[in-house]
Amino acid sequence: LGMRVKTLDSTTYEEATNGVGNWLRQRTRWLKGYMQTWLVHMRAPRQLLRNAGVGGFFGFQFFVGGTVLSALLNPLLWSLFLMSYFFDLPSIGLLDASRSVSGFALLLGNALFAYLAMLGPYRRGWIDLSPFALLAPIYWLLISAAAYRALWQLARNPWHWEKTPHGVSRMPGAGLIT
Amino acid sequence: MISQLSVPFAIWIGSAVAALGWGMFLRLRGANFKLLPAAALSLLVLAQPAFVSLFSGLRSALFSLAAFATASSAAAFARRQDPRRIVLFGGSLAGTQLIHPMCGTMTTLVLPWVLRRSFGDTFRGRTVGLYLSVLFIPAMVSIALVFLFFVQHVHLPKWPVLAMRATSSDFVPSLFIVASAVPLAVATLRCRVPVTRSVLATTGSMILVTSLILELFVGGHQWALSAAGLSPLLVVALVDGSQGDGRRIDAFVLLSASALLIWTLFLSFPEYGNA
Repeated sequence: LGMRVKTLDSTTYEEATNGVGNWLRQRTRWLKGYMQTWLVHMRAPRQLLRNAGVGGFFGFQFFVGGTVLSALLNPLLWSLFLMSYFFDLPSIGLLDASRSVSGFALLLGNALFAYLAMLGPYRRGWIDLSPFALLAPIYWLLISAAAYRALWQLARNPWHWEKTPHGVSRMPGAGLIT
Repeated sequence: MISQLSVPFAIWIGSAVAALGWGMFLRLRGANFKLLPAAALSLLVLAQPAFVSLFSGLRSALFSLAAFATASSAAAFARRQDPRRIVLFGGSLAGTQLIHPMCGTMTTLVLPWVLRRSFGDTFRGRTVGLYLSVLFIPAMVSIALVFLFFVQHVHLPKWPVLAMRATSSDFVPSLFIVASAVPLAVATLRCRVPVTRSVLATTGSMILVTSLILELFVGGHQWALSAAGLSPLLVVALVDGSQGDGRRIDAFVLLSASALLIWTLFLSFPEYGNA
């Protein structure tokens, strides 16, 4: 349509989900959306490249495709890393270097993610939230669970979207304004 | 010595020294020192006997750079606790840990705690998140090193304790270590900014204490390395702590005295030179 999409530097006071079940359904919906978006655009990759340019094309791969891929790979890398301590990897057909690769990826990836989550609240002065960033590895496992749910739903029920109930938190939105 | 000259090694030493010189020059210029005095003062600090030896030169140059980066970033962090300064401070502490594990670890544990009184009202009484943010990078680096060394059996560069040639410990180099700290002690006492005084006193003490411990129990002639770590802290003292027209003269007197002291000791007692 000849128009461009931009992001506004603004604040959203959207109500965050306040339970694991709600959160899991919400993330499942988001990740299924990412998967569908990637699949739709990659039906004609040359057209995408023409429309978005090289930077936009690779940005799309990393931010849309990469988000899904990293969520799906996360438990596999954890499994590989843990298996390397109990099994002789070359004997089961896996590279001996997989412990180093998976360990490095897990340490660096989780550390970076946790650190960003730790520094994020400073902009609002909510530094009391910083320590919760240490739960990032567990958070990532939940994202992976949502990713596999999304993959399953994409295959079995692609048009079903799990809605997030709102208005269930105790604190009204106005209470968050600082 | 020329026949043993390793060009890549010399390039690494030169790069580290150049980075240190450039950092000090920028700090001095930022504090309104003119071009020539800033360059001259930086060169005075760079004139270290520790940088001359190929064996210990890289370690000394990196240690010097790490000490300067830690002190500068700590002083900046104490003035304002924003994410950029937190990352720089945490990164400097991690870098010091990598280069001098004992000194770096002690500084990481002590320096953030010393700075607690300088935190703004936003963080008063809410320091857990702040300490976590500062100590996160050093903690991750420590975990990564432990993982690589003990689990992966990766051969790590032997910094600096293990790199020392085994020598019998001698009391004389310990005196040199203490003597090389005198200029910094004078600069710290004259520093007008309380938080910078705290940073210099803490960082300088950590370098002094770890050098003395290693010298007395391990040997290896630590004093040149110690002097290389303490000298750049003089620039931090001059930049933050002194004001007025006389500060340029003060700076030259202090840095010249420090350089003179170090080289006099080095040339008079070559047997206690670089390890």
